[in-house]
Amino acid sequence: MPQEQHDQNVLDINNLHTGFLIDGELHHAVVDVNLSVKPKEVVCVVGESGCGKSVMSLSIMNLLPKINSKISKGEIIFNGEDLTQKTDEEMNKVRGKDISMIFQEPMTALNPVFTVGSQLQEVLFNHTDMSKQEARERGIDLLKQVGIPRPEKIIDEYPHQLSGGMRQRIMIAISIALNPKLLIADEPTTALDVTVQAQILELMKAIQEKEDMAIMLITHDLGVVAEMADKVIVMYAGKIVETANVVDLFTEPKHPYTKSMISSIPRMDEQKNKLNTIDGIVPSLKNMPHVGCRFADRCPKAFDDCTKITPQLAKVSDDHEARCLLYDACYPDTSSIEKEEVNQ
Amino acid sequence: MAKYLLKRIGFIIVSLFFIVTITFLLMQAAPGGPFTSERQLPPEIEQQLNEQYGLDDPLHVQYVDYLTDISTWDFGPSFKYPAQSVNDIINRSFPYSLVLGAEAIFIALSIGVLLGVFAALKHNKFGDYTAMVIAVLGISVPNFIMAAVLQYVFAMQMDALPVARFDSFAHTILPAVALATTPLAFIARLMRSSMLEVLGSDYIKTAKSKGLSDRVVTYKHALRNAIMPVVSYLGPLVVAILTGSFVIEKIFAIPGLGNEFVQSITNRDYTVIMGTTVFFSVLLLISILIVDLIYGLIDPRIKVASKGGSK
Repeated sequence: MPQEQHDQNVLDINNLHTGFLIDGELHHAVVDVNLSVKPKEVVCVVGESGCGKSVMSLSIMNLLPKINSKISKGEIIFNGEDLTQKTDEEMNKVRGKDISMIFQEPMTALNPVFTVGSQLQEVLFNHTDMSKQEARERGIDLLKQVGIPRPEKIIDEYPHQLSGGMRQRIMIAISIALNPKLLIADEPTTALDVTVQAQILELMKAIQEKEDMAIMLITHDLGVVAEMADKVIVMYAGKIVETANVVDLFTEPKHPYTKSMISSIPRMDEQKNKLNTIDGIVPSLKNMPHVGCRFADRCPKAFDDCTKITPQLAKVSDDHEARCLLYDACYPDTSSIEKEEVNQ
Repeated sequence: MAKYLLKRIGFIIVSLFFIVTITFLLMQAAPGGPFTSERQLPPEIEQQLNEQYGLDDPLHVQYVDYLTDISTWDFGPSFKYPAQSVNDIINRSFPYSLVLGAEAIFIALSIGVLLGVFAALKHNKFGDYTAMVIAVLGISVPNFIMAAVLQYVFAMQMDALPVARFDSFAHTILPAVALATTPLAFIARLMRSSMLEVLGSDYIKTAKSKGLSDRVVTYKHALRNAIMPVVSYLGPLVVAILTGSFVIEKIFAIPGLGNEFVQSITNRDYTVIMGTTVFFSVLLLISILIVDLIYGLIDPRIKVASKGGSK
């Protein structure tokens, strides 16, 4: 990638490794993640539970519990600065202002003992010198933007007086309060019912277009991906297995994991008694295979090499990367990569 | 709000009625009387005394008399100390208990909460273990032993504080600390576990993602939620400290109400027993009411009254 373009990216993650200490040993939940987010781009990170997508997003925010987790390698470049090198105080200036985050559970994400307004204004007071009056006006304005009815009244209410959808709207209002460059949304619609899901996604899309921010949307719902994404990153067991733009991903998925995932979506035009599923589960951190493809034992197309050779992420067609030995490009160039993998 | 308060006060009055009735009947059921002593009184004098205090009236008359008196906050004369009324005894001794109790509650609350928060923040580290060892010690060592140890160390050995009595602020320190130890330890443990739970919750993650400093996250967002179990423990705590202080009052020779309470039972001083019982009950019921009101103030989810319109 040319340097110039590199500089323009909102976020560049290079060779990120994040691990957890289990019984004194570091086990990586995120391995060798490379990705970039361009301005105004919606990047979806997809994968099933336990694939490392949330850990990756918390790594960006530097919010993982320090006591048992650690970014062991790699860099997260945001605004030309490596976030992994920042202290907590320095990160506090970035969090909520330049990068903000929405979480999965709107029911518990707001503090029950403070009013909506005080939680909304808090982020304004924290990063700006706004007066109380200005912050209140901005708060009401934000609530209006996220489609809250009667914002003058709601701003003085407590979270328990509001529905899940409303609370998620408020979380969005908090996260866009200072026009961040990047919004990380960790499964923002998973806990909501379907009609509310669609509203929230629409809202996020509308705000993203209006405010020119980039969104990193973490989800396991391919429906959400189809609706929102420009670029899709498929993760499996801590590694990126496929990267493509959204149209390519759905029309020509390359990795068997992506293919199986897409085929497990029920379709309206098919009569089926049983849905397609992917057998087995993601191996746990402690039982992760050191050599070979991490998806091998669940893969319908696995062959001998899959358990012996660790595939690398490589370009398989224009703007489309995959990590699968079905494509020659994914064979490691030298045996050194393999050795490195063993040593981990 | 006013309606809620009236309702609660109504409940308090009903509860008091039952407490008074039960105490009255229990006192009557107990054998012996205030003038039963080894040195037999001449029957005429005992007769006269009974007449004077209305003890020869039928039970229901005595009961109604007592109820009417109590409703005007008149607990009657003491049988043992004829010159004093029960009200005199309470008015004289309660201030001591109140000062002692208030100091003890203050110590238990402030240090207990701090210790608990500290332990939670240092979870599974040295600080946590130290705080919890202190807490376990505090819970398992009874307060009369604590009192003796404190007297020995601070009064006898170091000569820093007075050993007993209750004349100046310095006198209040040792008994208050002794009285506070157990509740302090209990609050510390309560606070630690609830703080740990709160620190792991989603809204703490949200608060951190807003870029708030650790201090604001801990003391603004976490503490207010984590203190709830401690607040609900306050009601029983107030009572435990006020009534449980008699051992400490005895050890430190403090003429407090707890002391009078125990004395009245050995003296079979009916009116004092009943008076102090009713007085303590009123305290308990009022402190529970106050705790409920505080609860509603801290946590908006707990509706104290049907306030706030239609929502």
